[in-house]
Amino acid sequence: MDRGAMAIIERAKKHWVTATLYLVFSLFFVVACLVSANTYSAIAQAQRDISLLNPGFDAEIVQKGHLNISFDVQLYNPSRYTLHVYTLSWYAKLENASSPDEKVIPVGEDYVGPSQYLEVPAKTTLKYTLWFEVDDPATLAKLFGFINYSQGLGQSYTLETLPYMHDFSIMLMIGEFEHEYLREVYLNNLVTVNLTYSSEEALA
Amino acid sequence: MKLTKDDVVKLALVSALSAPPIAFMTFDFMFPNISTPSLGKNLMVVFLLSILAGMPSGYFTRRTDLAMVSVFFYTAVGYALAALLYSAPYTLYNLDQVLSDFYYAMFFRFTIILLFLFVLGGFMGAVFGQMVRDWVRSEETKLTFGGRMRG
Repeated sequence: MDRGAMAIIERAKKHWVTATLYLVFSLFFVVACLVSANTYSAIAQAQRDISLLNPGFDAEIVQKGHLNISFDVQLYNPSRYTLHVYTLSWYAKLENASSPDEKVIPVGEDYVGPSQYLEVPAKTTLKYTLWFEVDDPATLAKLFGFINYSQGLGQSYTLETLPYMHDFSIMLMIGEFEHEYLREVYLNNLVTVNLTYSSEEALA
Repeated sequence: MKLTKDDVVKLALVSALSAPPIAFMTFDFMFPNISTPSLGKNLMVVFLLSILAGMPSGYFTRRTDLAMVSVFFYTAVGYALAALLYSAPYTLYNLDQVLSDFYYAMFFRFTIILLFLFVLGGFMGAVFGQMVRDWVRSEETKLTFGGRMRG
């Protein structure tokens, strides 16, 4: 062995308490490095793999001639972390070419905020079903107006077959990592998953 | 300054001891919310740990210039190791990287200031390490020859 190495090893043997302390000090940081890099990799993989699957939507006439519009989607979480739903929103609308003043007829919506404490456990697929009963006579009148307008153009729709557009977005927080930094916004983004679905884009 | 083969081996051994704390502190400064345990971007703690990391350089190296060089050496090794940890998801786990130039530029932009702390703390630690070594040696000398001298 080299003299330099031998000299250090001799000194380490002589001062074994100090040498052991430094070895433990160094090993502690080696382990911390490995654990932290592993966490980072798991988070990066989670960012890549967490996704929305099989979106579906439906509209049906229910009691009293009301319209029940619904949307469902699966949230796939293959990561080792529980996801906390920060916000979840869904909007259903009808693009209205018949009126220059009101180009969109809002049909249904739902919103879940952070105070609801919804969770997606690790390694699970969760199905979200959202629905809205349209009982507002004004909205129903607009939908019937659109049906009549479309009939004049040779398109025959019913309330159930109208081309509703669905926009779904969900913001999730990965695990229990801190995500409320004011200056270092990239740290918040690191542990946040934003997923969106738009039936408009899906059709395009 | 001339470096012999022995000196290089010494540098390598000291780096093996002191580079991991540098690597961790750099990585932790980049991602304090996901690293374990986190120093929470506390520069004072980083500086104090840099002094501790610099102590083996002084303690195990007799030559002061070599101790100083070893501070630069282990800081460079530790920083390179931190860049490696930073790129782990893309190198080890084959994730696709978008804007890799920006990704690494961000790392250097955020952590470059730490290099000054590491080197300054390392120098202080090396000097402190040499002082501790001299103190230990003088105590040993006293213990070995003290009784004889008194007698």
